[in-house]
Amino acid sequence: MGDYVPTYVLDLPQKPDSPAAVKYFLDELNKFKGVMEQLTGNKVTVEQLKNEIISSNETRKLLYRLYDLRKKDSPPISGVDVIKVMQKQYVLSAEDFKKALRNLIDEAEQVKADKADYKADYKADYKADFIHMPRIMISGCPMPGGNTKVPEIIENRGGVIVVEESCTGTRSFWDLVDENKDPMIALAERYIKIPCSCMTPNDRRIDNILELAGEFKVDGVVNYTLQFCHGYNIERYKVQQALKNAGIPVLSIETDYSDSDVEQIGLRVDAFMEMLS
Amino acid sequence: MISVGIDSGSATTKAVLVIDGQMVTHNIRPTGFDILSAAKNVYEDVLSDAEIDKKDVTGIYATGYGRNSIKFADRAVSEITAHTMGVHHLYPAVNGIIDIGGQDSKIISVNDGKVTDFLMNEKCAAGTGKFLEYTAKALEVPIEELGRLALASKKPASITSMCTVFAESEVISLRARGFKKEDIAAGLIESIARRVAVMVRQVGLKQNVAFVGGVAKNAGIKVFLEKELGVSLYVPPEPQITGALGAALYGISKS
Repeated sequence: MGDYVPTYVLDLPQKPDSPAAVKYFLDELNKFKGVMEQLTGNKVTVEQLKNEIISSNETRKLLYRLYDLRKKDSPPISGVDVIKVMQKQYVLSAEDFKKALRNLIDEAEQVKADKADYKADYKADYKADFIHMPRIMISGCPMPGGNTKVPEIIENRGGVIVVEESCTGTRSFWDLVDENKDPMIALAERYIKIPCSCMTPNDRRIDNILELAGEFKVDGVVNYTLQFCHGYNIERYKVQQALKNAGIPVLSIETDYSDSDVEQIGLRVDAFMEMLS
Repeated sequence: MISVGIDSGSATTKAVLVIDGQMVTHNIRPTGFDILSAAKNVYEDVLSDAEIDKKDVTGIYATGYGRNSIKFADRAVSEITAHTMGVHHLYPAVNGIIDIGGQDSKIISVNDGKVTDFLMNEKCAAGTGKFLEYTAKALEVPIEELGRLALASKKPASITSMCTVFAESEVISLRARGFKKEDIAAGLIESIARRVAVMVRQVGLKQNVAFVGGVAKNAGIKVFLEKELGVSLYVPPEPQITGALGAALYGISKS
């Protein structure tokens, strides 16, 4: 890849709880900082970093507010819409994204519980409002731009997605970066804690899933794995066990970006919705 | 109350007519390309068989891959719920179902007639009727004979490919090495049984398990599955129609 674009491989320590992990990661981030400075010709200053951290924390706090609205018995916004919003944060500038997000939150806060007008799109078979629909958590692999296949299937077949436990969902904003520490240390500490399945042990993720399931009053979890993202495939077992013990049904789906399995997934989702309602 | 359940499967379309909660008659036809006419045909067949007029039918309920294309049905339900209701009606004590159909296999965990968990094969044909259909062709054996042939084997050949296409070429190489037909047939069925057993263990089915779907009609497969799982399986007299039966019963429960 380095033949085509400037590439730097950031080495992640995979045992984030070991005492040397943050130190090693900090060292890596500093090296990366040097590479970026050389590449762009700009010097990274402490002050600039602090400002960016404050700005990103603002985005995170807005996302907390957006997700808070989804805890309502009748969420004012569909999961597919939130996923599309989340995908935009990787394309828009921080300022544009925050502006759009503020407008969206203002609008969503106005939606009355009984005015979920998107219900018209659902199949005649499922005339229920969001309030009567099984509340679904999607947990697992990220869903970058263009990838809304599984969420669309879920929401077209009678479910409402209330939270996504993934790197394009909660994991992207769940913890703020400490604004009072040395910025590089604060960044290292925040990002090493992300419970990606490539980390070990990763009990943090299981605890977080159970916590989110309670907070968002989740009826069922769709464990979503992209083919060849094997970490999540392996961790699926632990996630299933933990949720089963908590009495929360799980549907595991392994898929890719193609549309070839839409009907097969649809059948599983139909059956899962029938099971939950 | 007269209710008809139609199961539009990948290989065959099934209809079951239920009057006051009791199954009266059924019909099975190949699905073919035109799933809607196959559904119409089985529907009309069960009506004429039971001498019932269309206007007296309370409801028509569809399940199977074509369930949403059967426009004359009042409601659609997934095969997983349908099979569960159908099997529960026949065997109220059952708490697990193995359904092997034309293009997929399903393992369902049941509690008091309700689905509590389920697992399906991934999108490939491994562990399905299609697998047997293809590999039987390589053996030049009619699919109906495959099970019986396998039972005659004393030393099943080992088939390691899960993939239908690779298994077929594995059969061809076993054939070239002089393996007996019955041993290859037994090897094929053993490989399906192993595949299904893995899923059964994942869902955690232990006893009171029913085996349904078109593949359950193949005598040998039941024997091999029972051996692999170490339990005896309930197989209804007509295992292919539990989905249609369940759809009819589901309709009644919802109306």
